[in-house]
Amino acid sequence: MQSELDDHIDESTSQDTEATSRSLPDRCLSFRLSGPWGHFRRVEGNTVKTTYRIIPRTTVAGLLAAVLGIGRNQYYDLFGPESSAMAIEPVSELRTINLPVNNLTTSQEGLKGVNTYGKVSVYYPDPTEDRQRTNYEVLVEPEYRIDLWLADGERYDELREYLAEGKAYYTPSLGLSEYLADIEYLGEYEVTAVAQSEPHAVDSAVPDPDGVIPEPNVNYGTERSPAFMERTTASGEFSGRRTTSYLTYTYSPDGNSLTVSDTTTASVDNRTVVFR
Amino acid sequence: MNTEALEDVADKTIESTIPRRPVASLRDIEVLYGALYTLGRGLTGPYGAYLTPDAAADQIGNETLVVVRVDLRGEKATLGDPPVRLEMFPEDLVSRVAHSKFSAAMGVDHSITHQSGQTNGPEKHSDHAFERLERWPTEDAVIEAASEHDDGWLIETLAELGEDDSVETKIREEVESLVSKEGQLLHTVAIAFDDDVLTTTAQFQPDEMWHYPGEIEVLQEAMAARKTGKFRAKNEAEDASGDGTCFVFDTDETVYGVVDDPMKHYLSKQMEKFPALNADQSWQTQGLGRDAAIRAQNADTFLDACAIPAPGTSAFYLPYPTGKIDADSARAVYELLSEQVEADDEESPVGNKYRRLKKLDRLDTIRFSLIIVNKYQKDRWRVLAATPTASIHIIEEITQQHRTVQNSRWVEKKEIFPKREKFPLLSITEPEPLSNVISSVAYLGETCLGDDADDPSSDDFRFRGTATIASGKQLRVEELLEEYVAKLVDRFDPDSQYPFPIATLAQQYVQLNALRACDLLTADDERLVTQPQHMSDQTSQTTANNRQEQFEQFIEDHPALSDKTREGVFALGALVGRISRYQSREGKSMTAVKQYPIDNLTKHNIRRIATEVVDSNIVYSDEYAGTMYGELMDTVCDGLETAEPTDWELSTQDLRFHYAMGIAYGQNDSSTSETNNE
Repeated sequence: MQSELDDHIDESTSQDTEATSRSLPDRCLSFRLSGPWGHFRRVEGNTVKTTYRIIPRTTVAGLLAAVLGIGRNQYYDLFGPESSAMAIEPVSELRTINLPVNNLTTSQEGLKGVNTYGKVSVYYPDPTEDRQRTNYEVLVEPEYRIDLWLADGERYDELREYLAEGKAYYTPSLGLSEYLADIEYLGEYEVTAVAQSEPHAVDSAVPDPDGVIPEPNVNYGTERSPAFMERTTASGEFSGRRTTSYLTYTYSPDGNSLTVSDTTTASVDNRTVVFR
Repeated sequence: MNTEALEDVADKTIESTIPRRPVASLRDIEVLYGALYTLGRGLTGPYGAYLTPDAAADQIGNETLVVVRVDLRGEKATLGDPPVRLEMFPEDLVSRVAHSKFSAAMGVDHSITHQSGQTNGPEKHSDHAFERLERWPTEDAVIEAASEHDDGWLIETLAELGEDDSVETKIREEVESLVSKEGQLLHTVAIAFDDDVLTTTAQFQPDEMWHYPGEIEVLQEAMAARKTGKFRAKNEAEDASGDGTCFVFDTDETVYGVVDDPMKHYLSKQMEKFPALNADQSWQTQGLGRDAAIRAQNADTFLDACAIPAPGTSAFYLPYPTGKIDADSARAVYELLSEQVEADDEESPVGNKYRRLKKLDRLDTIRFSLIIVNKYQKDRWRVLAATPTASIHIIEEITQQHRTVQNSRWVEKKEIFPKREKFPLLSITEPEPLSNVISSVAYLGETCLGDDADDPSSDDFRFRGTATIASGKQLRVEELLEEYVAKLVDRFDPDSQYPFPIATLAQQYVQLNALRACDLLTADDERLVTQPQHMSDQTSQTTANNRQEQFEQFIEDHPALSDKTREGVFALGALVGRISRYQSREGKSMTAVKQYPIDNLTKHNIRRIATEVVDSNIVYSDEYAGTMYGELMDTVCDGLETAEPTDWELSTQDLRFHYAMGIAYGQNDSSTSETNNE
């Protein structure tokens, strides 16, 4: 079904301002992303469905593409390393529970087709088959504050409009479609560089493995998630997508700040964050 | 494992094989462990990581090597004379024989060197020996590797010999004459060739005439190709590989999507919530490069050493350096891991490490990932609880506080909560063995009931709670008390002479107060998480003169009992305990503790029970000049009359636990006899 939706999407995402990945943007959109549940499956597991604590950068990109109505596999350039900057701040305590879920097989043979000879065929897991119970580690009431800049001025303006009006083209969700996301627009803010060489506190997760200074009695976690993706082609045809790089985020599971040094930090709305 | 093996390895060598950043995923830990294992085992060079010397550990040092000899020096390849030899297999031949094991159930080993079954007889051994020529050189991956290598002709030559009936006859006859009994042997080849006709490896011995597979590059390349082939073709995946970015090393190279995961988090087949997953595209989201993949495969030895059994499960305690990994921190982790491989079963991977690190004042340098799994199938594990950020500091702190409580007034001196031999949380007092218990699932397993051991659930408090504590997070007291009560109810035995599980309650008492002291508990009622003053301040302990003073002191010592209702419930338990002791002494089999079991107590019936208990106390008192246990009766009445039970904020579990604590107090308080005025 998604591929049919893709047909109606304009693939081009014009880049109308220049940017480099390490330089800071001069402004950003800021919004709060929350929901009762979230599940961002760690890529190193599939039978074991553990979740990232920090929503992966690629997931935020997909979620915002859904808000804007951009089709699957059509938005990777828009959120590329040179054309976007994002800071992710966990606002709440990052708490998880195990949630058993009954799954049906997803292999092609296990799927049931409807109207397989017609123009539109729909395949779905056969609900008469046996289920397999799997534990999903899910985040309970996750809440993040996202600061985002896009080089594509048109998309940036469009996103600001959507966020400000509380609109979304497709329903945004936190990882899985049943975990609906709530987006609260907080405004557009100026981004200023924090000129401080001494160790100082940051509020966001830190996507720089060397930057965080461990302190006694300060709890922190580290995780590695996909950061950027691109479309792949085989024999000139679209064949899927692939991860082009990963980010190692250090974060406070309690929603506290971390101390960093030698890291480019920025001030947004009186908070200190790290963009990537 | 040699625990000092990495001391002489150069920093650069170590750092070239490990991720140079903080550990951020389970794959990182696997790659780190595999890299350290390979270095520690002295497996160097481009093919070192592919070898599995420990798989044939039983063959090393014995006459266990069956060597098929092929001579390439003449115009035509021929068998040597003799064609097969049974040789000694000393340790220094390990890297030259270059064995790379593959799952016995799945076919021949990756290397041309192959390990037989454990009970193979002469005929089976002749099969294995001949298959070095007939089967291995004709495996798909080997043929493909041969076609890409300048020395591929060697493999073709071996295959041609394998088609020759006279070669088969010679090999079989020779093997059957050499091997007379059943046993496990290692089958390999040795090749004689003129200088420079084959590209050799660093293992090459120029002075020898016969050369083993580890000395010849094309044989090693083919072995490596067979092993890496499994990273891209498995189950539904035909070719899950492509140009991508390695998840562990960030390198742009060919990455593989169906790499085996020793911790079973990742399998090429799985159930998902979205349809039509394409296994061939798996490399696109989490591809591993060849080096990372091969290292992850070598992690087993260290991973297994860090696992200890828990009820129905295995718990893995996987240490890793805090912060960015460098040669020094990698060496420290290697030392801990190799030591753990040699450790006996009594030594927990964590308690052991705690001991060493504390001595070196380096507790901050290591954290561990705790993963508790239920292995419900060989390759399918269910994760019951996990935390990637467990701290050894916490274990140390709990150990200290636990010991303080063990030595506190009501345990040590007054023996209200007596120490019993068979109960580890009471009897183990030395810091080292105690930290082993505290770091394990047994710490909560002793005091909490949990679920059915045959079918462990992911909601089992013992596992969840262990992971929560290990990461320094707080448990909800209400939940802990519910588990405590369930355990007490489970251990209650009305047919026994001593029906009430006093030692279990004593373990709970010590644990509850140790966790309170470490600030690992949270509750709406602050008094439930406040540590008793007398435990941290040993100096101000006064001694009570009589029973009543002692009771008052106990109440004063425990902040939770400053709540009037809770105090009343506790006193009710104490009265039940006291009366039961009196009844037992009088030879009555139906004692109060049997009559009013813990799980029977509710807000609805507590006043009725209190009335009955007080009444029976009065009846027994008639036999004496005065009223027995007057102070307890008064406290029961004052406490339970404060408000209507339906308005009490105490949970039923809270009631039951403090009622149980009262029973223990009443049964063990031997301060004075029954009447009130002595």
